[in-house]
Amino acid sequence: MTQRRLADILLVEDNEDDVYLTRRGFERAKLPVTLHHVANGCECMAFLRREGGYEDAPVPDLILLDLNMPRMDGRQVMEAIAKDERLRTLPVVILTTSKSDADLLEMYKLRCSTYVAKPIDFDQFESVIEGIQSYWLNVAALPPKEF
Amino acid sequence: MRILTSRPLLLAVAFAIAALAFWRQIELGVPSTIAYATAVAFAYAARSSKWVWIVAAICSLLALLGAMIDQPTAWHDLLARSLFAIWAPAYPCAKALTERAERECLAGIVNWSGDAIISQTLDGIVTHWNRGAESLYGYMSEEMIGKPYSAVVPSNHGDECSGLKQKLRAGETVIQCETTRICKDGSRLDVALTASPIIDSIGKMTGIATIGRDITDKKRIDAERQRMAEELERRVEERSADLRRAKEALERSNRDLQQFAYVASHDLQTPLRAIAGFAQFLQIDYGGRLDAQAEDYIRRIIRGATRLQELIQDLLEFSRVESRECSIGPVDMNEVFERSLDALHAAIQESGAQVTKDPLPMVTGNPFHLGSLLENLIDNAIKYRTEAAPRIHVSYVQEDDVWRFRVKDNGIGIAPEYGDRIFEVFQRLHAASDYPGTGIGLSLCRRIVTRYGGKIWVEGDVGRGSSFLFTLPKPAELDGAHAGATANETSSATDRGDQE
Repeated sequence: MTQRRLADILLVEDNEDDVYLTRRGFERAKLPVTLHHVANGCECMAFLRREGGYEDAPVPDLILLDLNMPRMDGRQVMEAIAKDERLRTLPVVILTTSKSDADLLEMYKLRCSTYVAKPIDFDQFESVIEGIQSYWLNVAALPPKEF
Repeated sequence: MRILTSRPLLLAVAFAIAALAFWRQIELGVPSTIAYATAVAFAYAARSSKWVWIVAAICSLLALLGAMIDQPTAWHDLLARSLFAIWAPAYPCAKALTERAERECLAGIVNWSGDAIISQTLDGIVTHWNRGAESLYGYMSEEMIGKPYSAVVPSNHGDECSGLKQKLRAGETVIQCETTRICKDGSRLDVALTASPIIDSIGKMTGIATIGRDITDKKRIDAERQRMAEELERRVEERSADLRRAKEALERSNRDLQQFAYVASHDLQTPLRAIAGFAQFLQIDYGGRLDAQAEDYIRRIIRGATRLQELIQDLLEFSRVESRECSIGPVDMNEVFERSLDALHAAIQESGAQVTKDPLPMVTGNPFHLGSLLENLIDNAIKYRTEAAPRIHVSYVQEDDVWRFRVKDNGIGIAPEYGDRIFEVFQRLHAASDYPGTGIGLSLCRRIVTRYGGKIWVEGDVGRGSSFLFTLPKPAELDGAHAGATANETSSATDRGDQE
């Protein structure tokens, strides 16, 4: 499974600093990934459905989804993905700041693949990203891409 | 003089005179005198029928004596005539007197009754007006007898009497109603009336008798009671509305608080992560090109951000004790203990602490809360250590209706005067540089224990170690069930303590 090609990861995150930190994390870990970024849920759904400027977007291997975002938040994205026959096989990792029980419970009820709370320390954050990458892109067998 | 006008006495006198005339034809003398005296005696004694009989008996005796003295040979004849003269008037006289007494008794009852008893003819002319009526309506009987009853009927009730009359004529025997009457002084009275027909010996209705009772007070009390009931209802309604509003305000405030906690959890930490992250980038990317002071600044920035995050996390944890929806059920404190040790594994390893326990009971609560409680207390005991390796022991005793737990350590101890302060939020006795922490741990413990209706306090003194004690409710249905379940854990816990 390893090193077949650059994995496509879609980062759904509204905060620019967090985007930078995440991108930096992936760069520093020297992971073979292409990190795509959208800033909110609406763009995320457009990306996944290849509409509105995302006609050439690849099908991501993994979605890293923030919860609190303007316009369409992570919960709504999860609901939309769960309802969409073509999208519901995509693994979604919730990557967010909140460790609230309610959020955790709600997201797992919506069948998110993993829930990760972002650590504040960058070194720890880096190891979290490495962990996500090595598990989801190397260890786990992902569903075949349908399109 | 009234006595002489009554019929039985007239009768008695008539008999006496007849008897006197009867005797005059034969002869005068003792019997006639006796008969005459008897009649007069009846007249005076006629106040009661009893006295009629007594006087008759005395006179009979006198007649006997008189006859025997007057006419020793023919006394029988004389006596017979005398007795006839005495007893013949006595009987009707006594009977009439008895009837009169009964009538007077009844009249007395009626007359002196507190209720207004009034009789009127079918034309509405008052024929009887008792004292009750006098005091109720203010009219004396002399003023009313022979006058129309309508004097006490308010003008707008004009047809009420005829209505009553018609009903009584139609055969109803007793009618009760509540109505209004007017007194002599013009004031209005609420009265309860009972009306019944007056029927003569041949069954013809000749008038109406009414008994009236003042119900002004009753009406007033009824109205007052009604008013009070309404007032009470209104107040209850107001109170419920207040409570509803307070409840809504509380719910709103709780929602706000949860919202705040959520915002704090997410929005406060995002910029914090940026501060810490970019400071680290500075360190990483410009590491060699900055002087020592700049490196120190960066370290301080990172440390500050990390500490701020700890504070936020702890505050969130603190606020969740109330807001978190949690299930409460039986919890095995032995398992809670084991989990706490797992969570504190690093700190225990690092400090070389020995953490032991007695077999612990089942309690009622939420495992996360209780875990947090025990974890904080053990963590505290490890943190505030002396030079010696920390030795911590968890035990409990059974009190009336609670378990009292004790977490005893051999640490630096605490001066009794600070015993309460340490449970306040952010209250610390030591600088954060000496003993790390946010100052929330013990207040979190207190919040948890208080939530379950227990208490938490500290014993010990500086240099003698300290014991943190807390109480938790005893689950009634689980009494005694814990002993067997926990007996085999003593050794494992001790083993564990020895290892560490």
